[in-house]
Amino acid sequence: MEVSLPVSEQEAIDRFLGAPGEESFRDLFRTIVPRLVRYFRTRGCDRELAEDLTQEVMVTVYHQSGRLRKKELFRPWLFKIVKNTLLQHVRRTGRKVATVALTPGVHEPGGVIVDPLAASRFNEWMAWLEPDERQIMTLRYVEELEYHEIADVLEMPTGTVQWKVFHSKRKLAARFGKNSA
Amino acid sequence: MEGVSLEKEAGGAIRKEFSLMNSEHGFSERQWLEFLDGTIEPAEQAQVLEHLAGCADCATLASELVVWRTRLLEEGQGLREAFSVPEEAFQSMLSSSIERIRSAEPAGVRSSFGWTAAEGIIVLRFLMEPICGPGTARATIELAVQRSAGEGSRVTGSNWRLFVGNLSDAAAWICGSAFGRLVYRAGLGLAIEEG
Amino acid sequence: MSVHSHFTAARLWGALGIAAIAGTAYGALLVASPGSLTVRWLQLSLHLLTAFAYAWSTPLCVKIANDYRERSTMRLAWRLIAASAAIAVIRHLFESLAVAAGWIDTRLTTLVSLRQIPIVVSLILLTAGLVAVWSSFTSIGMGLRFRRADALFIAIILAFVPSILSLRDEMFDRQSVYPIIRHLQVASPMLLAAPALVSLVLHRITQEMGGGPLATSLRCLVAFLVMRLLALFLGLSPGIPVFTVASRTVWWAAAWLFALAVFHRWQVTLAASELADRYEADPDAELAGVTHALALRSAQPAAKN
Repeated sequence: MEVSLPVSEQEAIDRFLGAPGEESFRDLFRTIVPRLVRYFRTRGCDRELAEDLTQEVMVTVYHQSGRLRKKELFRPWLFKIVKNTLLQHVRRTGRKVATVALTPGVHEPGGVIVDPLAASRFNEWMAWLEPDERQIMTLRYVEELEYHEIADVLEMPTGTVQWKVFHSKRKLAARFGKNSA
Repeated sequence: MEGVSLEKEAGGAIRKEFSLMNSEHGFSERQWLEFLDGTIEPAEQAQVLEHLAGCADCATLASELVVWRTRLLEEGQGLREAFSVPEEAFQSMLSSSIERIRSAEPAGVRSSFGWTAAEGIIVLRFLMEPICGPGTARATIELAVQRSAGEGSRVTGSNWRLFVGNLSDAAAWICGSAFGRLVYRAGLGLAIEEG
Repeated sequence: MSVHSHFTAARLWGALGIAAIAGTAYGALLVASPGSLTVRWLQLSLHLLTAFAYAWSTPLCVKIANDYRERSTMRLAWRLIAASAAIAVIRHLFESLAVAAGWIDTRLTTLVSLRQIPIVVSLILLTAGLVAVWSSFTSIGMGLRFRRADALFIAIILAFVPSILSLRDEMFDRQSVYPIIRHLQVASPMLLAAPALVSLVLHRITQEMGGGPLATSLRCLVAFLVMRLLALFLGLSPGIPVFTVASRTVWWAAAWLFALAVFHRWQVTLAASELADRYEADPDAELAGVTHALALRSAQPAAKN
């Protein structure tokens, strides 16, 4: 398939919300799907499940985009859908999805460890935080959401989000120190 | 840090007290957080740095947290780069998603990707007529087509949003804002084919 | 809004029926025993009932106006209509007081004749409001097409004016001690004819509309305007008791046509608001419902629109 010229995430969002057709949906898909897969993977979903849930999210985004009043709220709105999709999956399957894989490494077929989480210290750090702090830190430093966007996604005051980030960093500093590897 | 205590309230919310923040440290909570985040204004940054130069405790904490901010940013960047999606998997996901969208419509409804502008206009007219009457619906649609597409042209997917906006305005002009809002939401809810 | 939620079209028609019956009784008694106490009580009751009709309508007119955007012609139109209705309330309450206090016997040519002021102001506001309604429709290309028969209707309406003026000695406040009131009284037939002429345009607009609660609202408004002109003409016709009775029947019932017009227009706002909320909540389900119904209608070409 021919790959069209890459568009920025914001351009793709604007085009899709302006005219939700197949072409604009493809561009949007291309720009935001990696973010969605990453979200599910960092919450303990294997690749297949992450891709399934990502598809669910994108179908929901397509059907409900007409309800979005302001383009600027797209990212927090998207992450609310993502969060709810994961919660619904957990409820449906009765399965606990660890928000952080405490055992590094997932063996892909062939026995080769290819999980990026295994090579990341982020995973190890997050294990020392409370679930809500983990969620906020991931949204902030992995998904690069602004404080007010995180507040919108998690439905809490922006000030609380800021302080939880501060408190989380203090915890990490207290646990791992300034010079830990 | 003196003057700051964190308490867990019922429901898990954290409440802080800054009884000494302003008076002893000479800057506000907002400035402190922005300084640690690296988003503080230069003029205010100077104010915080001035304090840190004279307060060992604050300077130590600030130093640690700034280091941790950098680390977290680096690790976040690494994770973003690590979780790329192979093209094959991407195409498979895209095809499946489009298939799911096409097959998700209830019986009797056209595919979300399948509306032409002409069909969309028919749907909107059917929606409007019971409230404003067939004649008013026709008149407002004709006016909106004229304003959106110009004389002799037609409404297409590319000017659909403009058409819906103009139709909503005309509907609101005659029947009120509630009716205009209805037309707008319904019109935007229809996914019109481009071109 | 609670007082409005209790009213339905059926109840408003019922009130109209009551007013018509009471008006008929009033007219008949006016012919048979003009100064009787029963006539006075009926007159008082009818004024109060009419005041209630306008008072019920006024806040709805304001709500309808507020549903339009700032600086829109329709917003101005409905505000003018609301003001007209409010003045009509004042007029009928004043006349109720005049009847109750016996001023119509003792101060008819002085205090009571001042009722012409709210009558004229109300008619001017109503006419201005109707012209604004017409202007709004012309901006979308409606209300600009007329038929040859309209010339006949215009001639009939205009013919009412000299006919009524020729009967001006029969007018209630013709003997007022205030010159301004006498002039206003003479002007009132023209002020009744003006909105009646506008009603002709509105009637054409309702035909262009084809149906729906908006068209029903305008039709009630047209009927209200035409009936008042007719009632005035019939009431001034000397020595014809049937006309006297008929004029009272028509006159007292007319106010409830105004209330019906406002009620049907308000239903437009309610229906649109409810549907808009449903679309915002679940647009896919609502569009699915619309397209499904459209598909059914397409499969039944003989079905009524």
